[in-house]
Amino acid sequence: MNNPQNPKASAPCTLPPELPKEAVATDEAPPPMGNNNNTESATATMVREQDRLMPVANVSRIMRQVLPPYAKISDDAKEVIQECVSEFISFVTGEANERCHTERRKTVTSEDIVWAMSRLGFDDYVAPLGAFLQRMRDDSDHGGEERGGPAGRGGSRRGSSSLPLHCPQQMHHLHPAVCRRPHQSVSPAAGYAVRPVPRPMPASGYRMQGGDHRSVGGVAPCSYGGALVQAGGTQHVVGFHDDEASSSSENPPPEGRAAGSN
Amino acid sequence: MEPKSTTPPPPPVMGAPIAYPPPPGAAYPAGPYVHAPAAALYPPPPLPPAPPSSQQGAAAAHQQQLFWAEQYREIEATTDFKNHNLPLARIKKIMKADEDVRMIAAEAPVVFSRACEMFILELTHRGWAHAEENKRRTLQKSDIAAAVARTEVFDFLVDIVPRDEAKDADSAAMGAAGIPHPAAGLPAADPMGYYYVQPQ
Repeated sequence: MNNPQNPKASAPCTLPPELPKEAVATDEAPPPMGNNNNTESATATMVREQDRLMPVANVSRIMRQVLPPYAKISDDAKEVIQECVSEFISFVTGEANERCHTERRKTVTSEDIVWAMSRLGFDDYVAPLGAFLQRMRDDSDHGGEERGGPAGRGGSRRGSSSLPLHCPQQMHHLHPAVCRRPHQSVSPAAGYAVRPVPRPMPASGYRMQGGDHRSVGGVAPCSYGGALVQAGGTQHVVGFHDDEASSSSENPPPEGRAAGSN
Repeated sequence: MEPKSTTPPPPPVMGAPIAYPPPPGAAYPAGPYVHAPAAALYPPPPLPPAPPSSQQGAAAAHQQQLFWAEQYREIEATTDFKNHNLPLARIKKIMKADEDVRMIAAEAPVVFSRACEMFILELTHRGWAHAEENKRRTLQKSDIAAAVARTEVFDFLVDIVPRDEAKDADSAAMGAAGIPHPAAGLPAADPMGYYYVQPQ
């Protein structure tokens, strides 16, 4: 197991050691709102450095889910976790991409990523992610929106020249999804038999969304974090009803804002 | 995409919001969601066949099982796939930093968002165990370094965490735990090491 990992581990050595500290310093200095303002006026270099790491606010919020309330997290612990997450993404992506090359494919799919995690020893992640993927695909409405949104934004961001390349690929990607429907039709039925709640429509989805926010909020504050991210990073916590209305009416804009900030 | 979204199915009758209020560390009560189908489709990882003799190791293994059971529970409770705890655009940029990566499916960053969340939780969980061993309430970089040094699956992070800090932390941790210090930081002494090498 160590042999395939060592070559990949050596690759990050080529990264300049100064960049992480600068990026971390940039992330830490401004508050969330200030960060947004700073990001808008930041130079390309700063944006690139910031983009190399996950936002420290999101990382801290996730860390607190598994820690007792009295636990504190030092800044250097947050920084090292940010670095580890980026390394994890690059590590798994590299393995997934190798599989794509072997099979003469150009698109890295979610199956490739799950396969790469299994190959790299993250066996515990495979089953939860498989369940997550199935749940995501069962939710066809959200899945459809999810597929359309990022793809469209990616195309627009890259310019008109990439649209012809991306659209056919998107169509190609949709085809397997259509083929999988007969197979998925069994699992949703089982799911329906187990849970009294049928597949949610957009409106009912938002209701369940609100319910989830309330229920999950009691256990872990990650939903609040989600609301914050959805609201564009503002620290003001709006009521759940407002959150629902905001999410229902502003689904495309948050991604637009995210694209703008990046 | 759009035509599907514009044709809403009939709204279902919703009951009271489902609440999951179990306190941390307590056994999770049986909720309205039955986990059997998920187990049938995606069987959870089996318990380590050779549990460590030390009670501390057994407790750690038990906590890990609870950790992954919680992951299943959260996934079952997930009904909104548009709100992610990590920005998808940034995940995509990190993926694209590898010039060999040409095209990325729309689902890929979503799956990564969930995987990274689990990764952060696991690393933090193991790091916190080290902080508790040292009677501290502040999670420090050395705790993360110890978690990386102790877990074989995190070997790819040894270049991210300073080796000196990892070595010192690991030595202190091993000394505190009463386990003989392994040579060159080999994970043989790690109670969870056997768990990861078991075929699944």
